[in-house]
Amino acid sequence: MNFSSVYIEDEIAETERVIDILARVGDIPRIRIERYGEIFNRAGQNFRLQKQAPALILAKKHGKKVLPAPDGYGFEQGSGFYFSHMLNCLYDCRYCFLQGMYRSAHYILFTNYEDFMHDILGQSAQAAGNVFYSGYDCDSLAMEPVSGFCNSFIPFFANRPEMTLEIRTKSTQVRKLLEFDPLPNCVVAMSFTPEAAAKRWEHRVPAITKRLLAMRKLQQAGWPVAIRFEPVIAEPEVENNYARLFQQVFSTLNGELMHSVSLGEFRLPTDFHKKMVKLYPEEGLLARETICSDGMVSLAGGGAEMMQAIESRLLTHVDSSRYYRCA
Amino acid sequence: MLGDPVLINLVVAHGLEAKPLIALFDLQPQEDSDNVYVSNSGVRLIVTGMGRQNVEYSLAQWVETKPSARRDMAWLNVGIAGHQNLAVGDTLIANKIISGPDNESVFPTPIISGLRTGTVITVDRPELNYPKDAAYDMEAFAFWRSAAAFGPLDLVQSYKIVSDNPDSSTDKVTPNLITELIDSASKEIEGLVLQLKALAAKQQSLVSDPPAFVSAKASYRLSVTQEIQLRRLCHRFYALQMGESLEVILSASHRDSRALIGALHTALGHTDGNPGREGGESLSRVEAGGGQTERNQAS
Ligand code: SF4
Repeated sequence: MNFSSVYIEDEIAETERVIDILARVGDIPRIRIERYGEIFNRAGQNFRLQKQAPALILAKKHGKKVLPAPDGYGFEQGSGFYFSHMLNCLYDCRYCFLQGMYRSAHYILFTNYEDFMHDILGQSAQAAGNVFYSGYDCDSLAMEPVSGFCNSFIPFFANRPEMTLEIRTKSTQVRKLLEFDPLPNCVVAMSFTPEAAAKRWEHRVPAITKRLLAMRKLQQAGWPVAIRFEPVIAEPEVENNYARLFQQVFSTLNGELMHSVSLGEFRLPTDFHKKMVKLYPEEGLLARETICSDGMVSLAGGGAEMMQAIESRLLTHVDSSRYYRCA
Repeated sequence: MLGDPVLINLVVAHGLEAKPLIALFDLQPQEDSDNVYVSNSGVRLIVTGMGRQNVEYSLAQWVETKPSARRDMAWLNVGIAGHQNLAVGDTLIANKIISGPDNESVFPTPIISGLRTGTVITVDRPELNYPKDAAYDMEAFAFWRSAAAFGPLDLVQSYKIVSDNPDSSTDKVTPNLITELIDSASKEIEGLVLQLKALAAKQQSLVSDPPAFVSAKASYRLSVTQEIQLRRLCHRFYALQMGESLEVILSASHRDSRALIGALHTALGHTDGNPGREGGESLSRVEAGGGQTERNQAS
């Protein structure tokens, strides 16, 4: 895990967690800042350029830390919320909306985990059976050796079985999770696209086989695992590509023990798409014919028919009670 | 006339700092200016005079006289500085620049590899006591502010060569020493200029007009909107590896620009997506909850 530098907010510079993290990032330039916004939110930055040498920003999250997940975001099990202890991702998927959302490619790690937990508890007090999603604006596990996310949040959820945590990831960093006893209320959800799409667009992401092996280790250890087949990108041979992927996934993992599986089509807010086109004008995926509806862009050639065809193939591997379509 | 487009502007305060760079990059005085030099290899040098006001004035003046200059080029401030701990001749790239008088900070993007980095404090008078572990200069802050307002922020960098420190006072900073210091850092400066030029060239290539667009523009009368549409369509053809089809369509005769754009749209529409599912459909998605942006989740 290489960072070009580490920026540290003055307010948290002397906290134990920050001192620990700094010991783990090695000998890289350390730059003190007042607030992360003076780096992250500046106009005139170029996400693509920065992605060549991203820095780590250690910051404190102020304001709301737990937000309602969009309708149809996850599996139905009470209300859904998400929290982002990190912004941006070590990987570089060309379809990822983060490129269109943020001005900077630097990674922010909010280190005041206890404040997140406080807000999670506050949210949970209002209704039972809440699901909390981590990995909405980042990859939750990719930076685990630096962030120590699991060390803090797994014990927290272990003591609160009435709440569910979903960790969304494409990382194989499961060693830390495996050190804990499995939690029935902590779902590790891995996203997959077929081999051809992964090779083309998921830069720096571990290979499908490696990710499946990591998921198998978790499943064998008793962790609830979930598979997110997202984003589905319309392409020639898309159905056959998914048929192959399903075969690969369900011959490695036990579908009957799976917490859930989902499908979700590629789509982006229009303004994110525009920004991504500017960043990567030579990228074929972003040059494709699109359909705009309600401020969202999706690819021509996809749509309900394609999704249904893929869905029926998926449902030959897994019971429909474990399946949902991501809105 | 100069051949290559300029990829990097070097900015120095003093003629003594400029002299070795003029030789290093084979720079020639620019017509109509007594403080700007250019080379055939994409380098321009601006000599601003010492202190923040001179830097601000010179860069503002340069921008004013070059309203059509490309904005996507790199900027590099090269200059001498005092330092609390570094030896005379040591060098650094600024990763934080503090304005001494008001303590305001700016942060050059850490995009350069292989060089020492550190804080630069810009002061109004030479600093003789070096109170902090930092380089002390008189221009970096004003340079960064002015250049970042004009060019891409990530490509605005400041490079300092230590000329004095608590063991070697400013009295010893003679014209000869300045020339010597810049000469001895010339390899590093060359490498730095190469890195920044490569980054700027990449940026420029991404925003450049595709050649097919340039020739089509010369052949058709285009409204402003059509120009934008045609440029994007050409980019899309190349991105979709359909450069040859683009050539064929452009070489055919079209009634007018509208017909040309229509033909390009049609060609793209017919080849996009899953051939078995031509046309796709309009997807109306559920509303985002709680004021959040609706999108695919990350990961
Ligand atoms: S792994 Fe997820 S968060 Fe990371 S770049 Fe890919 S899509 Fe984005």
